[in-house]
Amino acid sequence: MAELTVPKEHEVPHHFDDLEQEFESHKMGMWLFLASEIMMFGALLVGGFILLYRFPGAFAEGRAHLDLGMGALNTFFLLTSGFTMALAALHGQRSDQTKVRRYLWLSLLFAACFLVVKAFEYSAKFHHGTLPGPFWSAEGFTDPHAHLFFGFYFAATGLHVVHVLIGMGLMVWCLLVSRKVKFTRAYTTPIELSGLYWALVDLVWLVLFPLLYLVG
Amino acid sequence: MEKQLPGHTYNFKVLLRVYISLLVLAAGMIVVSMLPLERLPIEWIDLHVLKGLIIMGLSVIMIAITAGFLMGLKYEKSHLNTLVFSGNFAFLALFAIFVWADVTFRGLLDPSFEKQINWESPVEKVNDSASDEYDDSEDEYDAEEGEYEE
Repeated sequence: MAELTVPKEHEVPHHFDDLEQEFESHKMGMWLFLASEIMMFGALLVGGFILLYRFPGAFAEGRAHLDLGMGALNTFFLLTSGFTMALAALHGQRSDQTKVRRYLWLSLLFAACFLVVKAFEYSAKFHHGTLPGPFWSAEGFTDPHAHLFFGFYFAATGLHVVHVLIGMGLMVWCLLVSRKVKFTRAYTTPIELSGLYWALVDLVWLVLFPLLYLVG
Repeated sequence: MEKQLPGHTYNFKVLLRVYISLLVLAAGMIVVSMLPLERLPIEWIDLHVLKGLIIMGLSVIMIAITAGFLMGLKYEKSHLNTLVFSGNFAFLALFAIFVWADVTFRGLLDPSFEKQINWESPVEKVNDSASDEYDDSEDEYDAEEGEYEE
């Protein structure tokens, strides 16, 4: 029979003076990592805006082939999962392990819903042949540069989906940590830092959604 | 007594307000994108561009709310992380300006240089007589047929 693990108080590693120094070091490290992420996504999004500026007709035609309802639904799922992730940190500070796990599971569920909707969107693109570059086989387009829109669509949303998967992995990690370590007002570092990463995933979508589905 | 961290204490009411504001702003973006602003009899400003700017403006507000409240930048005491975050956008702006200048003015000094960009397309156009400068702004897209009607 498996033994029930009782969460213990977090112990400060010997190379840190106290919890405050540990938390600030970890948070600074995460912010520097997020800075590199912003530069990467930033370059991609600048490319998208340049394409929009250079080929507005291709973006208008490409946008007409995207499902705005699905994009809006995905925005709802991501915003809600960001909210539930923050609630997990809130209840971590209140030392309520049960609610921490509940909100982490909810965040995971909404993230999974985002992926399911994205899978439906991708399958429609595969079906119509609106694929990037040499894989393009769609017909009925009037703008000769329509393939550039879909090339950008797959590059940007594909990279974003990879980040959603990593964010889901972090949520699972937080769930595992919550079995071993008791969260308190002084220690919610894993949830807070995972929440920071998840908020960045939200941020990227908040630019991608209008750029791909609304503007053009 | 438990030591307080410098990080902020989460507040349910604030988080709920942030969540509702983000949902309202997202809905606002969608509504603005559906408004037929282009049909208004105003010529002194390009309403199509204005619509895009309003939508991206709402997006920037949503990003600021997310970074401020969900990422906690509003509660930062040292401002170091805020500096890292905002410094990123300064570099991105610099990058965007150089890329825009390159794309816009490429070939101005040396016309042969412009031809180094390969804009060839695998798209088979519906209308063979359509040129690369084809203006589809007056065509209407028929969602049921999946075609453009001239």
